[in-house]
Amino acid sequence: MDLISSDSQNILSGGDYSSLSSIKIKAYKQAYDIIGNPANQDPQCRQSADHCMSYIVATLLRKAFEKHEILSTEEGITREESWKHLMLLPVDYSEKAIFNDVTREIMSKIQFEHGGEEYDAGYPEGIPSSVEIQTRDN
Amino acid sequence: MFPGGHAMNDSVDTGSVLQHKFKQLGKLAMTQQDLVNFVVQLESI
Repeated sequence: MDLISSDSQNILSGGDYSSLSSIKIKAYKQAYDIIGNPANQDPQCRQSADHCMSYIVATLLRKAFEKHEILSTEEGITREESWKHLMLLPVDYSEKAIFNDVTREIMSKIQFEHGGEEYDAGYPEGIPSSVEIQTRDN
Repeated sequence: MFPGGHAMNDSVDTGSVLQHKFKQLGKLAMTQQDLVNFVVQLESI
């Protein structure tokens, strides 16, 4: 959310989601084990989608691309406003959303990795995680 | 170490975000007036 708030024009690229090249997510072990489980990276229902990091991030990004005109302003957007536009709601776990073609395409570009000792050391005092988005135009 | 939206984060106005969330979820089940009354009741506990 911070990334979208701070660099929305570059990331959202006028609503063209094909500008995304890759998305790399790292998290501490406990999170990776629960929502990064390779056996659950192709969710078929709400119960599996809400435990699938790649689905959650891809859905948030799809919504951001759909709302790029609101989010990509010259002056930027506050993080609070980003949250209000992009937070996932029940409709985002509907069958239609789970099998949304754009979401699935974005999911195919996501890699989720365990961040290693550096990330683990920061938990539970924090929940260390990072998202790196590579766009076609770097 | 806690991202915005997390209860422990102090760089995002969580209260404002939660107000929005309550409205979005509440309007799935209640009329506008019932929702307003319900949220006021909860916030007065």
